[in-house]
Amino acid sequence: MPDIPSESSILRELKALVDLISPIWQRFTRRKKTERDSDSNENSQREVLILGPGGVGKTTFARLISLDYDFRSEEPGGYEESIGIESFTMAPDEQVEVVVLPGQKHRRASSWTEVLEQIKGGRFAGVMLFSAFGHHSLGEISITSLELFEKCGRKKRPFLSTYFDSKRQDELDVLRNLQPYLETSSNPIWMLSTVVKQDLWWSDRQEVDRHYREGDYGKIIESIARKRSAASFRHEFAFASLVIANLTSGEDELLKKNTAGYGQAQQIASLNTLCETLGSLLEWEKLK
Amino acid sequence: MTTKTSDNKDVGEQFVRAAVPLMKEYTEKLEKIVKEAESLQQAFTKTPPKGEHQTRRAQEQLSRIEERASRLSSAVDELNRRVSQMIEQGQLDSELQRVELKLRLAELENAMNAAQWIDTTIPTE
Repeated sequence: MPDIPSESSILRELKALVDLISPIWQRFTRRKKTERDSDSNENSQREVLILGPGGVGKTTFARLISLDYDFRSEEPGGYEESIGIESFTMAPDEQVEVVVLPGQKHRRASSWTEVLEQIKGGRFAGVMLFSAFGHHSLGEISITSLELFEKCGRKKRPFLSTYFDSKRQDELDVLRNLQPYLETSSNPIWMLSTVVKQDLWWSDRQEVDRHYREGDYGKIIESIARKRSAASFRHEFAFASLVIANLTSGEDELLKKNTAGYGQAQQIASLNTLCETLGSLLEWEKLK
Repeated sequence: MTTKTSDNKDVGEQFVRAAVPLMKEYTEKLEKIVKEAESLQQAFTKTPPKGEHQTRRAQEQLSRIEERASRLSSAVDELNRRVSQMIEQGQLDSELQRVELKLRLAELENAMNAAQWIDTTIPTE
């Protein structure tokens, strides 16, 4: 498989993604519309919160499900940091609102607390926590300007190893930040741990699976579940690749190539699982 | 603070030296644009434009101001993102520099946010 998809393969991906995602969402949203129509006094639809560290694909996912992502004009894997809180509506029936929080650490204090507090009050039907096994995109910065690159003796291999480790720690920090709000939410709430960039860590997928299910991440999830009843908290994992692309810095420095052998078939299967899981969680919340 | 190699000396210092004046300049420009719009709005509230001609001229004045802010937004967003990445993980000479960038960034983003919400509606009698 070539490292960088040709334009025609990108177009094929676009068509496949739209073909894949649209019917799935149409199926769920059509069912929701029927339910809503049958109960005109129903309160407005609760929202879905998406959060996670910066550079893990939160906004890309939100744009994909609102059919606002154009593979023809956008650089696959390109990262444009979100500055503030963003809102999207899931296509095509616009019945599920999605709120995406900016992921950079220095933006969390000012933009996260108020929104996380609203988890307690029941604003959100569920939370999607995005991770990428530490493979977080770098924004508009060269690796040569990074503090960590300097600390690693300006050598790429030790830098990358330390970079991925530190980003995995940050993923845990985000989960720890979220934990008390999920434990005290007044309403039933679901959580979907969405581990993306599968194309970058596919050859280590068993390790990735263990890291999230059996490591500290999984233990925190278990702890949350213990404090809630099964009827009031549901958690699922989904492992996926939103786009197939090498990991590069904002200055186009190659950090890691995507895994040879990971192709469109795996990507589509992963997105299908992700959409189906999300759909079933939305249905679960609806039945509460 | 880390020990720096000679070829990478002053990366943070150079960045701060270039970015901070730019951030100050565009914060001021955006604040000025917002103030101009507010002054015009106040003037139109005090003395609403009369007739089609005056209303159209008032609308054009406000639209021009809005356009000035709009033209800056893309480049200002890019500047914001570059600064944000330096704050997040860039090599800076001191934590004080990081704090300064955070403060400047907050000011610039506030100014940009205000400029994006310029009210162009014309008060009517």
